[in-house]
Amino acid sequence: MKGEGQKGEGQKEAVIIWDSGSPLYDSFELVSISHVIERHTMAPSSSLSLTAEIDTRSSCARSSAKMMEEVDEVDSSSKYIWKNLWRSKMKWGRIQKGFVPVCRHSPVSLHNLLKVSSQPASASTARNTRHGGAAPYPHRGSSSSDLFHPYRRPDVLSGTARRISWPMFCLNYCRCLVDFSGCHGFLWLFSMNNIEHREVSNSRGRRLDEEPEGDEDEDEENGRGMDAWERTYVDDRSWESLQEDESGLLRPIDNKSIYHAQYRRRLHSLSSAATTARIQKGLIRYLYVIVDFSRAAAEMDFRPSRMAVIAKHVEAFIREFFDQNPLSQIGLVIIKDGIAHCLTDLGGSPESHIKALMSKLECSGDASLQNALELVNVYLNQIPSYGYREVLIVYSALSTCDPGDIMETIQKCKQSKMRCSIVGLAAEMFICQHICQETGGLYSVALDESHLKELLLDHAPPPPAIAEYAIANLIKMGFPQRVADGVISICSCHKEAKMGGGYTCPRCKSRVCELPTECCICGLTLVSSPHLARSYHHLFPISPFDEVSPSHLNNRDKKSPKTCFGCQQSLLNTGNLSSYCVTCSKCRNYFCLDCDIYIHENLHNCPGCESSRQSNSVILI
Amino acid sequence: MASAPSKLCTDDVSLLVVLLDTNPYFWSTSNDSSVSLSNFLSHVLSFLNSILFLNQLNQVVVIATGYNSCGYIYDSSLSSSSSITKSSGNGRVPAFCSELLENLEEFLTKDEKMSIEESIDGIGSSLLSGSLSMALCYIQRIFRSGPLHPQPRILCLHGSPDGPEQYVAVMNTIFSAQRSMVPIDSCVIGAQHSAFLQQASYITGGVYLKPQQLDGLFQYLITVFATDLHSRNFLQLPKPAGVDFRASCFCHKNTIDMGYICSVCLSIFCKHHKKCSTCGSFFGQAQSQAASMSDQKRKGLET
Ligand SMILES: [Zn+2]
Ligand SMILES: [Zn+2]
Ligand SMILES: [Zn+2]
Ligand SMILES: [Zn+2]
Ligand SMILES: [Zn+2]
Ligand SMILES: [Zn+2]
Repeated sequence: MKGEGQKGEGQKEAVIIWDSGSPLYDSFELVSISHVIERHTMAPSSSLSLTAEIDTRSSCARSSAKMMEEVDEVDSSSKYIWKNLWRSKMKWGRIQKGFVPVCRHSPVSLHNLLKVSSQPASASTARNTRHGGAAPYPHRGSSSSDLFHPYRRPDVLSGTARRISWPMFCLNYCRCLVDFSGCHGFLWLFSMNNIEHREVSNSRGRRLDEEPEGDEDEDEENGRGMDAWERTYVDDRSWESLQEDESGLLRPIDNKSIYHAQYRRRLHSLSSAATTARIQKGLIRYLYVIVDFSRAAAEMDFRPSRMAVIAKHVEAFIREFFDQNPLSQIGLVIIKDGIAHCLTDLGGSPESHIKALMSKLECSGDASLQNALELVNVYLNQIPSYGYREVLIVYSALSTCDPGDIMETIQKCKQSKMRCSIVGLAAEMFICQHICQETGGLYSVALDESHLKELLLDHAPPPPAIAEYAIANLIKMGFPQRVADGVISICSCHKEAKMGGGYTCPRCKSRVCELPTECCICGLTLVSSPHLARSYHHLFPISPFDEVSPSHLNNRDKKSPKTCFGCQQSLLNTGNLSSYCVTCSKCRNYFCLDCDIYIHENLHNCPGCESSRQSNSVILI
Repeated sequence: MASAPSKLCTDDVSLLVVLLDTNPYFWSTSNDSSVSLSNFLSHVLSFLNSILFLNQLNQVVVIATGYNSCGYIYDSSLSSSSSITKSSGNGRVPAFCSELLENLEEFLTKDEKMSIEESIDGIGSSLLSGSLSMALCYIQRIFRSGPLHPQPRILCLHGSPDGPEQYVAVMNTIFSAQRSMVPIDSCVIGAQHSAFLQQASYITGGVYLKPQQLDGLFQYLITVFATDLHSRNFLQLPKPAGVDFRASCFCHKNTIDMGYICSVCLSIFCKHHKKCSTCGSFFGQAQSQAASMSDQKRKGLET
């Protein structure tokens, strides 16, 4: 949120734009906006009947009682708009400067609105039924163009409305919107975007003339022919793809460059963390995922509910975890009704965990961190000494309801070398911070769904090994051979006769169906060499590539290659949006940004280093 | 150019990335066997030609796997479509063949210049990991090009023995290919089987083949490797006879059935050591004691 001063500036600026005589209300714009609104059935048709009424009504002199009534009336259609338009209140901050508050209500009545809208949804629906006639849902096809008569413009600019502080107005904006006067606000919102975009394109043209290699963003925008709102309005969250630049203008977010910047930041933080020449990672992990399905998980601030979002991303996490840690095991624990119970035991099969989790999607009661930690502590004390004990808690609740002293439990966990990490969904809590600090874990709170996903997946790669947490050891393992096709034998795991497939334990010659596993007869851990090899890239990471500025690329002599070493894409192509490229510090080959990400995130090989014998010999084991 | 017709791609349009082994030591020693480099190239060129004729939109990329370096030597999307059908000056070879051969010759001389050792014992290994990495980068670019792209696959025509020092890198490329669902086909023209390529084809769902008669290489190529991925569902292609999943120890590079794994870095050793040579961890407990203890604990957990 911005400070007061900035808000004031934003308002003033926006008003200046408004007053600068831009053709905001020319007929073309009105038609196109009403078209957009109609297309998304935005026109609150219930208000159509109110048109005449509102026209005759004086805007600011309404009694608050009448206000309340009107709000009740529009409540059901506002729900519709909640659902379709205002999915994510997190992002609303972005459009703050983009529009002027245009509500015909006085600030006082807006405060009333705030009170009404902050009541729980159940209360307002109850009121609706009490009043009997809920407003019909808006429907397509109503001619809404007559809603936007230019003569309402003076109302829109009524001075009182502008004194309202931004966030409050934004959060309650849809309420105003449903109240008929809010249609101006909506109209205004889009008009403003349009103006700003026009301004952006003007300045861009000028700057491009001055310096042909302007900054990245400018080039990016040039490639798009459509207006910003036209292009992105196809999905119903167009405002989320807008961001402010340093001068307060709106511009579309350039996803690709943001993605690349994010990735580079992460890469650098990772590489700076791994400063030692020999990297030790805890590759054999025993991880309990504790999912909080208490009452708080039913909250709807993540759509459709926290629980559904958690389940979705925990599933993705489990898959990613086993992809990166093939010899590790996961167990699932659920907190519900004040107690913790074990959903699945430690195991190496992602499917069984996901199936168990998906079958238990219901939430109730309180959350208890102590119960969960006690339970997990007992289970994790049984694992072999070389394994890393880890706990990942996905916590929705804002409190913990414990039977005893949780501090004792935390000390117990610390003694048994459990590493507890917590991903919160609501707000930061001291006790969570304390747990993570004591046990050496990470505590983070998710801002929105994509952030939650990111935070969870951050726990998939193996953590740096802390020598005291697990005793390094040599584990005896067998590398079974695949049974030739057409041989019938009885497997020791399912006790079934099977033809072909399967593997033979090298110690006791019994047969198992899948790898990695433990031999049921002799207890030998059976793996295949590819399982081990899947983890090796953690041990031999490639260093991040250095960025090369485009000017350097242009200045290079003619002999040097102009294409990406990996994919042969031209690095000088003007149609190419990203104007930077990167170079490997070892082999001095140039790569495009897409290859850079692919090489570091997925391939874990530098094609340049691998295809030259000299540098290859350096990275030998 | 490739971008224009890519809109029309269907499931039988392929992008074939061919990795040619150009290890000079391999080709100089293989004279006594049945195939020489020129002979081999004539088989391969006819094969590539038939791939390009199978479907107008098919695309072929050739990457040379050299001894000191790797490089792109042909990309059918860069040469105009007429050059594929048109014959070059003497009217005997298609223009694309002469283009490929020119680039190959250029690559070979460059590869030779980069050589630092005067002579090596044995054949030596070519840089399979490098060419596989380049092929995957190229394929990622095709994936980025839009929702309708040709179906990519990689064909390794490999003769040199595996280089144990490339193990980690080759495995990385195999897993990356597996994640991107790119099959790696391999046709081994050397004397021995290649454990790398066996695993690569098995894990990525490609075909592994070691032709018995190299005289008929073209026939092998055209019957086994020319079919697009969609048609493969209906064909009986060679099945992997037995993939060697045994690991080789880091200390002696011996292939072992049972071994010791460092719990920190998962390095494989054939016998018990005091200290891990890869990550430097010290192993405190005696081997027998540790093994039995962990076995016990595991049993306790199971019951
Ligand atoms: Zn079985
Ligand atoms: Zn056994
Ligand atoms: Zn590239
Ligand atoms: Zn490199
Ligand atoms: Zn050994
Ligand atoms: Zn080690």
